[in-house]
This record gives sequence, structure tokens and C-alpha cells, in this order.
Amino acid sequence: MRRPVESLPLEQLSRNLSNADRGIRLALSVALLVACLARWVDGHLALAFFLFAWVPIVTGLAGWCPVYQLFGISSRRK
Amino acid sequence: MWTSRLKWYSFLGLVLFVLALDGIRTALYPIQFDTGGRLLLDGFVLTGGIFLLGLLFAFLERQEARLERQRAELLALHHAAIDLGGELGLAPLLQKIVDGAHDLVATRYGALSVIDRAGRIEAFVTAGISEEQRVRLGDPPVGRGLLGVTLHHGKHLRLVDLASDPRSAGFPAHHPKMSSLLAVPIACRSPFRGNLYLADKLDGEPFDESDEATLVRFATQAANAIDAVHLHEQLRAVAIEEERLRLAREMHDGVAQILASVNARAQAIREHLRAGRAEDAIQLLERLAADARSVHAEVREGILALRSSSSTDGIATALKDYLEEWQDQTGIAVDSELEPAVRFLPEREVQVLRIVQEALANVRKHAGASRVQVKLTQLEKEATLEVADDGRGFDAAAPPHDGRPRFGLVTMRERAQAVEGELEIETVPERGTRVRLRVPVGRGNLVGFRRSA
Repeated sequence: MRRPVESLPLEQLSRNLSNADRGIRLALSVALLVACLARWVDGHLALAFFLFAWVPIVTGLAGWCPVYQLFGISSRRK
Repeated sequence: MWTSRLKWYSFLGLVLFVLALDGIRTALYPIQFDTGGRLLLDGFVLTGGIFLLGLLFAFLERQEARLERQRAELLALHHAAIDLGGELGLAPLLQKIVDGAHDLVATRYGALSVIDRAGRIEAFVTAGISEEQRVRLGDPPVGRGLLGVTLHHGKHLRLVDLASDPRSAGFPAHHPKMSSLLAVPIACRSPFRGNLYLADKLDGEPFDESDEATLVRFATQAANAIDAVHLHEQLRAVAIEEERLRLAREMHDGVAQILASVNARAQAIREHLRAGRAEDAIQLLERLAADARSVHAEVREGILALRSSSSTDGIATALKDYLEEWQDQTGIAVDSELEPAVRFLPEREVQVLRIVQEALANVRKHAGASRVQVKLTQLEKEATLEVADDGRGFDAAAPPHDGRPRFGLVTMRERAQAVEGELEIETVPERGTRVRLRVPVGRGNLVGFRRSA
């Protein structure tokens, strides 16, 4: 029998974030970026904000969080 | 379960790895970062590691879920196959197939079409449709529309919305609303032709490739079960044919021979009477009466043998009834010792019963015995049946008196072979005969129908 082409692991990720969760993450990432670009914070904190802002952006857009995945959490309603 | 433990170990391993990396970096490149800088760097590595682990476990868990689903499906398929294997009637088997497929893939509706030589639907079995709905639907489908498509092309059909398919036609007025459809043919080696249909999954999702693969596997099992039913029917027909031939042979060797001799004696008596030899005529008349008694006994015994058949209470009950009647008919005393727990498969039981009947017929016809002992015992997986008489016995090595082969013994041996048994005949002239049959119990279903070599 013909086998379907296996999709990439990234496409196989089952979402574990609710829309509200995703919204909060995106808002948080915007807040982090604004805080460091507007120089509300400086030094290591500004660098940390800039470096870690991509985490909520990626997770929020993908609807999938690796920490939730590891600990078996999901904010989506079953 | 093992993945959740592995997750914790991996997470702990990642934290230890980051700490070790920090330690190595400090030892090799002793540039002094301040605490904030170190935390930033370690945090960055940790975050990357968590992402990678998350991806890895997402993939692993998906595979694990898939394996679990396949395991459950195979188990369900296995149970369904066992269930189908036990059915030997075609109509109930077809209903079981539809019900099994409908449960296995979890759908709202299921159906099976049986197709005749002309390609029309001969019978249509359904699941998930109530009797009342069936009555309202009217005549079964004939194979127009989608039912005809699968049937003519003999290929799989998987539709998300069957109403939007251009081939969809011929739905009666009260037909329940169906959206998705999955259909596969049942490919048998026997002449049976049919298709299996499922409509609307219970979870509302359309049928996927895995559902199709499951149904194809189930249809293969169903085809095997249908083939087994056909084979069973053919074997039954062969068994009936063999029984008919045996009966014809017995009538030819028994009743027909005696009646021929009755005719010859009647003619001789007429000649004696014409010639005025009354004494000779009376002598022959006595022999004629003996012949008539003999044929009468033979016919009654034959009728009794045909009437007695396997009993649901086991062979001991069937034998007991037969022996009582046989004793009354022949006047030969029967001592029986029958273990009631012995059980054969029904088709074997009939053969064993016929062997006992043949052995007893020989006792009546040839042994001149006054007493017969019949014993049925079981030791582990083997049952033993003995028929011993106190008659005149015979010389097994010597040819029969009338020059004809001993058909009774041949038939008994053939029957013993058919039930995978062993037949021994011990006989000493003037001291009786003992027929012993040893048969294995509780094996193979169709063995009783195996033709003797």
C-alpha cells in the first residue's frame, strides 16, 4: 500500500496553547521589545529582554510551548 | 509511561549540562563575567536546550500515540477475526462482518453488499439502521450510484462528502443523511463477491488512510471466514455423498442379496410342489422364512442406525439409547459401560456411532453370540471404544466363506481413518471377537470430514 509522505516534525507538533495564552505571550514579547528599545531598562536586563523576547514570539505564533510539552501541560480546552 | 520518566531525566540532564558547560568555560577561559552575564548566557543555552527537548518529545509522543493506536487496532482486529472464525453459517457471518467493521472503525453506519454473477446486488446487510428505518427505506439497493461504482471497479473508495460526488445517485426518500464514505471489496478465493461500506465516523472526522488500512485488513479476515464457510459447506456435501454411497453399497450387499436368494428359493419351492415333493418344499419354506427374518432384522437395524444420530448430551447418551433398542430387536444381551464425560466433535461422533453400529450388525449377522459388551472410556486425550462378543469368532487371515471381501470391515476402517482413529480387531475362532477403536478427542474442526486415503 502507498505510504503517505511523513510530514516534518515541526508540522506534527500538536498545539498546547490556547488563543488567550498565545495573545498573552505575543503581548509579553511586544512589551519586552518595547521596554528594551525605548530604553526603559538598560545593561544586562536590556540584553536579556532582547534575547528572550523571541521565546514568547515563537511559542505564541506556533501555538506550542516546549516547557508545556515537557511537563504535559496544555492550556487548550480538550 | 516511560516517556514521562525520560522527560524528567532529560530535563535534569540538560540543567546539569548547562552547569557543567558553565564550569568548563570558567576553567578554560577565565575571563570574569559578572553574575548577570553568566545567568544570561546559561539561560540562553538552557532555553535552546528546552526547545530542542520539547521538539524531540513532541515527536516521540506522537509516535508513541500512533503505536498505541495501531496496537489497539490490531487487538480489535484480532478479536474480530476470532469472532468471525467461529461462525459457520453464511447469513449470520455476513451480519457479524458488518457489525465488526462498524465497531472496529467506530462509525454510525455499516453495510455489506453481496454481488451476483451479473454484477447486481443480490443481498444487502446493514448495521446502524433500525428495523423501522429499513422498512421505510423499502427495497434494498440494486447498485446504481456509488454502490455500483465500488462494485464494478473493485477498488477502494474514500469520500469526504458523498453527496457532492457526481456519481452519487439513487438515494430513496427516507435514506438517513450520510456524509463521509469508505468502501472496500471483500476478495474471496471462493465464488463469493461482495463489498464492505462504512459511513460517518462517530467522532465526525472524515475517514483517513489509517481507517482505510484497518478496513482493508478486516475485509481480508472477513474473506477468509467466508472462504471457510464455503469450504465447510463443500465438505458437508462430500460427507453426505459418501454416506449415500455407503448406504447404496450396504443395500446391495445386504437386503438385495437376501431378496435375490428369497426369489430363488420361491422358484425352487414352486418346482418342488409341481413335482409333488412336499417335504423338500417345506424344508425350503423354512429357509425362506429364515431369510425373510434376516432381511427384516437387517432393515430394522438399518432404520435404527439411521434414526440414531449425535446427541447434544454426548455420545454416551446416543449409544445408550441405541444399545437398548438394538437389544430389544435382536435378543442379544448387551452389557454397557459408558463414560458419560466423553465428548467428540459432532461430525466425529456420528462416525464413531456408525462404527459401533457396524460392529453390532456383524455380531448379529455372523457371530451367533448371546452376549455383547460395549465399553467407552477416556484416558487423557484419547477415547477407547470396545465391542466384544462371546460368539464364534473368525479366522481373520482366511478368505471370507462366500468369497466376497468383508465390506463391513472395510467401511469401519475407512470411518476410523476419517476420525484419525485406530481400529483393531482381535478374534479367536470359537472364542469371540473384540473390536477396539481408539480416537483422539478435542482436536481440529474439519478432521471428521477428511477423506480417507
